[in-house]
Amino acid sequence: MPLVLVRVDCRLIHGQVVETWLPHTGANCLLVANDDLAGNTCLRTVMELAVPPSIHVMFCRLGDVASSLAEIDRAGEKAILLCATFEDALRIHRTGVRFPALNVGNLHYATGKVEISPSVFFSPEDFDAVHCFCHSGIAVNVRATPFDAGTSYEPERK
Amino acid sequence: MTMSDGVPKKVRRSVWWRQFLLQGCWNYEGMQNVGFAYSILPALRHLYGGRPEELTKAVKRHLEYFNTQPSMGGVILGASVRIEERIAAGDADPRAIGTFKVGLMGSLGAIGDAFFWGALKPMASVAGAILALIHPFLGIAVLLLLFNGSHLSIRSHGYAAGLAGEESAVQYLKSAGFASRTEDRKIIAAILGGAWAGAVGSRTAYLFGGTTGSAGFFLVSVLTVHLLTVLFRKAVSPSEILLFLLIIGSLILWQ
Amino acid sequence: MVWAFLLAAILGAIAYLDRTAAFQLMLHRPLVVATAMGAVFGNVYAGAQVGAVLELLYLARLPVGASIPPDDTGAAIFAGTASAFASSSVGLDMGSFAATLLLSVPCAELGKTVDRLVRRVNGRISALTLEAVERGDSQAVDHGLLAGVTLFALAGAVLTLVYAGAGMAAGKLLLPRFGPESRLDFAALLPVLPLIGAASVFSCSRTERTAPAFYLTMTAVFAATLFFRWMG
Repeated sequence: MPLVLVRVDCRLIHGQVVETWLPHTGANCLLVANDDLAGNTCLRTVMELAVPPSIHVMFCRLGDVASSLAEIDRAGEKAILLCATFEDALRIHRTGVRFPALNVGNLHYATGKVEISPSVFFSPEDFDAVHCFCHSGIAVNVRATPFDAGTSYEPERK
Repeated sequence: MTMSDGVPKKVRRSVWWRQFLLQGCWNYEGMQNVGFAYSILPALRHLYGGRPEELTKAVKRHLEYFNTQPSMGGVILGASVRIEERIAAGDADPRAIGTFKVGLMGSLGAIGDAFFWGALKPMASVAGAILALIHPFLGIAVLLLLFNGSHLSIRSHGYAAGLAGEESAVQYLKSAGFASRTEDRKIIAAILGGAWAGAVGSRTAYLFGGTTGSAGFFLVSVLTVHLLTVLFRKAVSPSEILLFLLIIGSLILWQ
Repeated sequence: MVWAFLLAAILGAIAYLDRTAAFQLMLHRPLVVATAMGAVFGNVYAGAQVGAVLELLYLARLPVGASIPPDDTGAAIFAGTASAFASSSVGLDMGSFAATLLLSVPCAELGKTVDRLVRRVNGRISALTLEAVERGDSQAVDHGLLAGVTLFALAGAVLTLVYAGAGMAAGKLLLPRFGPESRLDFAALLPVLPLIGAASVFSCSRTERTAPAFYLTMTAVFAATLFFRWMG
């Protein structure tokens, strides 16, 4: 299993991921699943600059996560999977990618959203997604960095 | 593209100055959103002058959530002015600016946090603290010069590179070599930190007197620094350690 | 004295603005702030000495993302003022030096709470700005930002007055209550404080390559300075 962390974060690669989660999980690969980015070389180049050279950065479309993970597995690497929204995470899950828990780092504010932590705000659709994940046995925890206490949504037991 | 449909120099300069207030209305919902809209406002007013509805739309798209390391904001600001010029001329989709800003702010935040807060500030601080032992004003001057030399040059070069377009902004970030500059400043900070620990340590050891006393004190200092570093890495705050010492001090006085 | 406090409040407001809202020119660093407070309250050198130690103490905490580090500017206002007053009441010996630094810790934590409060109020300002812009008033952005900056400056000025007042009380009233013997007891804690600063610098600059650099320099400088002290 090459996945050590699956994270929903609207900012994708940034300080919290690079400075705290990478050392904490011991991952050596970052897989960024995002349809907009896959076609934008400019932004991809800058994101690569933000990560230490020892970490392998990969970008893929939401539909290609499974094949990218197989590739990472063959290389024997440990990866953090990043996506921007719950919707993207659900789509990845539906393509057959399995993970035991989902970490939520940053989801920014918009009108009508509910504050979960200072940096995470849920829309009604986000609550539906959390319910959906819990129903499939995936724990959802809201934690910006490994040092935060965080809020957890436990999976339903069957 | 001719200069006439771009933003004139005077407006560009006004945007440059306003970037220093990027965090002026920092809040948990939009973070630097008001600051960013404020910074780019002169350019928007110029581009959409006489088209109030489009101006409102443009200001609104810059009031959306935004957060990056403040000194790296100049690059994004410059490039955003450039993209807005193209949107105003009808050459680009207004949605492009949101994608660009959101895509860049996280990575630039990571680069900037590591360089400014993780390397440059500690280096300038410790150099200033050591020299302040010789003369206070020498220490302050060196601290401010070391930090702001890099800080102001990155703000202005980044902004200029951004104004020349997205490709040039990315080119600038690549050629500026932030990874190696961060590494260099971390090494200098560590060397100066060691010098500080050695200098203040020897001052105390001198009071103990004797070779054995000094050597013993030195070993204790090294172990203390090592233990504290491990604690800081484990997310213990310096405040907690200082409060602990304050309690010990009060207990000593109580006796 | 009223004028000194007024001057302190203005300088404090500038330092607090530099901390988050504006410029980030490092005018808010403890070395700068404590020296300035020392100068305002009559002893530049006392302020600078505590400022140099305070400068490094909190570096380990980075302002990454939405997390707020301890308010070392506030700690420096308190410590700079307290040391200046202590130097004229009981003299800035090692005991009062250590006491001044340790008593400044609660200030650093209180400042964090106030900062969080200001940022919450700014959320309201941001929402109002957005509403006004939707009505077609782009000027509201200028006003919103001005309101945010003013709030940061006011909070800074008020915090400065509180810290400087507390610093004066500590330097003038609290420290003289203890005799020279108890201050000497307190002085035993002093050697640890600069080492916390060194560890703070080291923990944020630590990579595989910097560890030997740190410990080697520490050894070399320790040996060299001790040698020169012995030589006289």
